[in-house]
Amino acid sequence: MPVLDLVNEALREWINPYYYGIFLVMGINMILAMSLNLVTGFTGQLHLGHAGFMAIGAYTAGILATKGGAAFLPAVLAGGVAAAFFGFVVGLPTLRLRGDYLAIATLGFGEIVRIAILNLDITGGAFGLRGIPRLTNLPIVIIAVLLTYVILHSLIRSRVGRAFIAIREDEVAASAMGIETTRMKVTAFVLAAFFAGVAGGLYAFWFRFISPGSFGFLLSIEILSMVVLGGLGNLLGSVLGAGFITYLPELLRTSVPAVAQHRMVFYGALLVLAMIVRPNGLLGTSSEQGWLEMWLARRKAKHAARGPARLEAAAPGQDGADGRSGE
Amino acid sequence: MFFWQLVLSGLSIGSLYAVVGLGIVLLYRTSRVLNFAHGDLAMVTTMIAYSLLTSAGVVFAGSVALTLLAAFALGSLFYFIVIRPVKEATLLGQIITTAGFALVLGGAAVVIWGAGTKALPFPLSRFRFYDVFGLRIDQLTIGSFIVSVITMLLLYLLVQKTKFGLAMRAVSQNDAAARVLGIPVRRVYAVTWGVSAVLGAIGGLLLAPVTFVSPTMMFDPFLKGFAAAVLGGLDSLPGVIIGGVILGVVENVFGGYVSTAFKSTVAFVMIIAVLLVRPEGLLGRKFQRRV
Repeated sequence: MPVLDLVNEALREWINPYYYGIFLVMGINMILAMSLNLVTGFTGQLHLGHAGFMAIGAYTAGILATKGGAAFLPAVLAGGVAAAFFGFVVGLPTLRLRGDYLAIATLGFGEIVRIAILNLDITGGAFGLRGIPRLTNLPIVIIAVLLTYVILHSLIRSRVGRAFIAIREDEVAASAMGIETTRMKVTAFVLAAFFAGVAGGLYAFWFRFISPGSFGFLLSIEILSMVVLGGLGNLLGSVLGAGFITYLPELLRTSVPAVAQHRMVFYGALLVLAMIVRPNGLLGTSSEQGWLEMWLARRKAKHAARGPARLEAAAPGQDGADGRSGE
Repeated sequence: MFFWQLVLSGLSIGSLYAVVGLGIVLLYRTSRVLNFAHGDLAMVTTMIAYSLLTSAGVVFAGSVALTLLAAFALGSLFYFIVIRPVKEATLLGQIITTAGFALVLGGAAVVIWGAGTKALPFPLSRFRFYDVFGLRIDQLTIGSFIVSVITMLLLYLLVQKTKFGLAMRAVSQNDAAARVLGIPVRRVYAVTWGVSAVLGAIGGLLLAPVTFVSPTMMFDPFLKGFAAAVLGGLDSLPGVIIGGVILGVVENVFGGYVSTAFKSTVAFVMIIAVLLVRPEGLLGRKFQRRV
């Protein structure tokens, strides 16, 4: 598309190449985080294998482009569809059950994908897949991020999206209200897999070289950290979380290299702390309360109770009751 | 003969999967928490054993005793520091918490012990063979099989024959009622976390001579332990043992006849198949939703 090329030329003139690359990866991570948020944040199902779906998208697009001579858009979309197909295969048996089964199955699925890529001939095994043309550029990624946001945002505002949220809040109640919970959960999961596949395709057409090591378990956790940091059930939060977590290692690389090197410890601590202090993340929307909210609510209650209590201080026994209400 | 050879080594590795899986199931039964840090806890305790054996120069039996103690302490400490504060959290919150803790442990191991692979000095050898009914078995295989069976027996006695085991079962049935009856629920949870970590540590120690000691050594066995648990039923202790043994044998036979490279995928294909046909696992109770 000539217009996009023109915009791209302008952007390349304007942004230095280092930041151009970072922004591009940020955009890909934003798509990954938003799609994971659909499953984990909005529907409340923990998914630990998002990188596996990204890998399927990346390899499908990469193989179609190098061995089949496919054009950019069909290859990327095919990557998304392939990922969605596998999402259906994994999601259907596991999503009928309690949420923890999905976590195990997706964790295992990510490993299967890695092992399969490592041992198949068509993927190039451990040497990776080379010679993919560089067709992804920043304007395309920006458009993809916007499209993902708009699609997911309107989905969440729709009937289906409300069903997702109802399942997260109380699956039994949701099912009692006539929501087909399994079907809805599979829908969310398959859609998320599609977007992860598309993100994988964009990734392949940018880095031109993909290997199984790029899509490990740690990447899945990194995406989960973006979602949790930004807020479970908040799309814009995922965008910010992805931006922050992508930029952080770059920022720390020069100032505190030790932290950048061991950043998984940081992500782990972040996840644990977030769950203790603010389970919905910085901008979460779930109805669940963390320590911070409870503490704030308690303080508020205390202040509210103290006001009138002082006026009626003459009443005997009031102090004891007041003290207890602050507990 | 080749087939029985595969079955035999499958039995041995399967019993290790079962030991790792038992830790997961024991905890899940009692507290309904699926511990994604189980593998990393086991890895860290194996690392501790490595340090005791090499730099500290403690004798093997002493190192093992100290390691198991450390595992117990780490497990119950984790309960008090991390799990209790998020006790009110949803299922999702609890899993994210344990997964986050796994990352912290894995990262800490890299910082303390380095990312490299180390050999744990182990008294049993993989290269001394015995002839049993015409099959060649190495010393380590026999040893780890015997230790796993003893571990399972001890766990059985703990859960079924002691007062503590009774308390544990009571808490898993209904923790509010158990509290009313005067069972120290918190202590039961903490000890369960400790015992679960000890089971992981035993698995880690027995796997160390095969996989060597490294920060990622337990990732695969942990997934297999999970697979064994799902296969047998997440809340059934005998189930996970049967699941582990089946998994070990099937995986080994597949590796011997079909493909070594795809051996590790067998476990997950089996999980998916079991979940499709019999979601509660081989010996698990039927799913009941508590409203």
